[in-house]
Amino acid sequence: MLLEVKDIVKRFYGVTVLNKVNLGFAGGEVHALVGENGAGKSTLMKIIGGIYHADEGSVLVDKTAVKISNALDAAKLGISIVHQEYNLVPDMTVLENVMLGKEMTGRLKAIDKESSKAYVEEIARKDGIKVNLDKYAGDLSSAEAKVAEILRACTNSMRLLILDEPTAALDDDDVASLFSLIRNLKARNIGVIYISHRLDEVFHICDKVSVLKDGKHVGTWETGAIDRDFLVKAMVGREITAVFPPRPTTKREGTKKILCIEHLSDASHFQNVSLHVGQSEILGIGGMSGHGQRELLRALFGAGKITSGTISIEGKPVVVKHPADALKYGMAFLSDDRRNEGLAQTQSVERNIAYPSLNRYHRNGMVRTKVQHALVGDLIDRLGIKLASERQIVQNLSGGNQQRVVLAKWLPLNPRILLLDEPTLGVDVGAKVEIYKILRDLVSQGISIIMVTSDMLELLNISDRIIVFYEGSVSAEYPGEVATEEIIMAAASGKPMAIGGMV
Amino acid sequence: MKPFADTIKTFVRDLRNPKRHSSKIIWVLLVVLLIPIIIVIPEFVRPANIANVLIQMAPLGMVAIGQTYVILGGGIDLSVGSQISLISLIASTLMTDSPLNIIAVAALCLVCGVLFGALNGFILKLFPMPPIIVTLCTGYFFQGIAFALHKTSGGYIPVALKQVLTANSGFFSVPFGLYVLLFAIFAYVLYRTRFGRYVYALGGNADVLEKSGIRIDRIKIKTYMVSGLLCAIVGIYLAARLRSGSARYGDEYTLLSITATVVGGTSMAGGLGGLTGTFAGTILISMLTNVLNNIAFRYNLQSTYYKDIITGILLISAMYFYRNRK
Repeated sequence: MLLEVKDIVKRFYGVTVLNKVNLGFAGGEVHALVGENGAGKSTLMKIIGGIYHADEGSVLVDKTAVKISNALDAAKLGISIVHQEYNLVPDMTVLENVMLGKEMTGRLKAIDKESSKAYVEEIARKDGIKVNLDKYAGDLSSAEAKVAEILRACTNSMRLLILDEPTAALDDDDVASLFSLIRNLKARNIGVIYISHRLDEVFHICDKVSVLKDGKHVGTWETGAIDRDFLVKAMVGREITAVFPPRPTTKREGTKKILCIEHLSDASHFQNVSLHVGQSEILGIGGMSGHGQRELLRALFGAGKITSGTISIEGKPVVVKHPADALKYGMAFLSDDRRNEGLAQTQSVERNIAYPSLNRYHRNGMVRTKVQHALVGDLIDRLGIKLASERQIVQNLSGGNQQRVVLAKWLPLNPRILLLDEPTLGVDVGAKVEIYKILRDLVSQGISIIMVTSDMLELLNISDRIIVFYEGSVSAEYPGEVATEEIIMAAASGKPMAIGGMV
Repeated sequence: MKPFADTIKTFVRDLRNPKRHSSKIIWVLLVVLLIPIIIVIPEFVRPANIANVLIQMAPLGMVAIGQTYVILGGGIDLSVGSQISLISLIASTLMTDSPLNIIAVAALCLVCGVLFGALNGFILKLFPMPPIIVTLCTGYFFQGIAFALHKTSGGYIPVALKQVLTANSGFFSVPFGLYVLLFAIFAYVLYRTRFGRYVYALGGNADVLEKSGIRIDRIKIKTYMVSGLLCAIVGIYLAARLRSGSARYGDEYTLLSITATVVGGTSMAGGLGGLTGTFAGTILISMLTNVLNNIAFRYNLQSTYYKDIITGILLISAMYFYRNRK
């Protein structure tokens, strides 16, 4: 075994995050680590990488116990982590980033760019890595940035590479080239720990898979010996038969259009977009990320600039220049960036829920706390937000609960249209089920939803109608019941297929 | 003609979308401003006046070098003015006519400057707080000590030191020569050495630098030490020039050094910019100061207020202009 962890225990503020975890990772093996959010995967990797320290247990490299107290120690042992989040200095070139901390110097301590470049190019060639070394890191696409980070790891005479959700921001072509890179590393007897939520990838690229649940090691299997359903069951601990609530059976034809937009364009992200959403309808917007759907949603909420086109609500034309306008017309918005745009992280749940509707229950500018308290308590019950107290700080809640808090803050305004950007991003399976139920519930009460999502299953199973974006325009539209993954992918790459006379 | 037109087109496009580490704009601004200045005040380009501008820009230029290091590293040093003042008073309080004493006191001043910077850095390491608050407070602290040493300007600086530090002939002068020398050294360190690279990384993404195994606190402390050292040099120079020390000598250099740095294209967030831009920013400020003094002299006005107004406008415009740059 290249690396083993023995009886690792880690607690945060008295909460046990890892409970006696034992795992072994071998060289030349791609080992997947899966589990729901909060299962302890990232914590375990951070212990191996020297960012956290285990309360109990030991880490062994080549069967010798080692002490890893920082990233440098890990690097010396040949362990490199490519974190999920962006980890490059944006205003430095790829070469400078790769060599950061180990610059080669020549006369008068000057950095020797030529030797560094030759050295890095040699390594890149050996591992089959293609990246422009002179580009600034801030100008790289997410795929190129990942590759640059892996290249940096390769220059550390790496023996074990930890990839934390490497494909979260990559499209299919990039994933394919990442996989061929992983195969190269494997052939060089480098061990890879692959953390991912995408189970298809686990079966595609990994030799072994280990499951963590609630900080415990559930088991390790050869990927060839098990199937997807088995793995999901191991992760969730129960079988999830109905992640997605059924669509209502009643016909919606002839229901009135709530929101209509016509020929809407902004400066650079979307052009000439026309669409509508009917009452009690969920309109799903799909497509590759970065094709303008996100910007359209923001523009509708007044958080982006519209250059031409019209928006009308229930037939009346409206002008939305600021989120305050959007709220006035009954729109509410869930950002994909919950951390920065959805919630005031350091404030309590009660305050967060109360912010948008504060002007509904004040007396001469004084907040009527009793009214607020009752209202918030009611919403917490209604949406099933799990809390120790409504005074709890939002920061410490799970993703699923945070998302429910964001939903709760809009409901007192009685919105007619909900604009959702990635409504279940960073939310685990259990909470997803709950959120989908809430959305269906809201729709049955007459609310309309426009949902931008990159989660294909969500798009296919939640939407009543699906619109696919390609290069800033609507590429195709399908009823939710007939759309399939293939059809959506074709439309998302600009080659929509016709099905049943619909495009 | 065509390739020439294309070059101009690219140049203009680059100006509208400034690239990383580009200080092109500020140089263009300098040239553009120079034209009306020469037309309105032809005296500006007289050799004697140019030599004068070079002397005037030297102390600001030196402080701005340190300020650039600190801002590039993601910090800011609001205590530079007070450090300069305090050093000027340490020098004027301790100096006598003996050459040995002059050298010893000057050396002591340099050591004090480095220590002042180190103090800023260590406070930031021990008590992680916004550097804008920490250095504002240490600035008051330094200035308080300075006032305790001397309520008004005072002390004694031997005339010999003044003669050495202010010597000039034609375009050459000791202060400007010293500035050029220091600029060359610190530009080399910033652009060519590992330390310089780490200063950029510290401001650009300190997390990445730390995970690359670098002790970021040490880099940060060193940037403040560089700033302190340069303040000490300026403190000695100002004391020698005026043959006294004062708790107010350094006041204007805090905002001016930040302005020179930011106008030169260094990002307030750190990690982006550099000394070439700061050099141009220093020239711009010195040029405008000189022009204002000329105008004030011609029309018999009090010029200092106008200078403050212009500095404020410059800083705000520069920050607004660079706001969207990645």
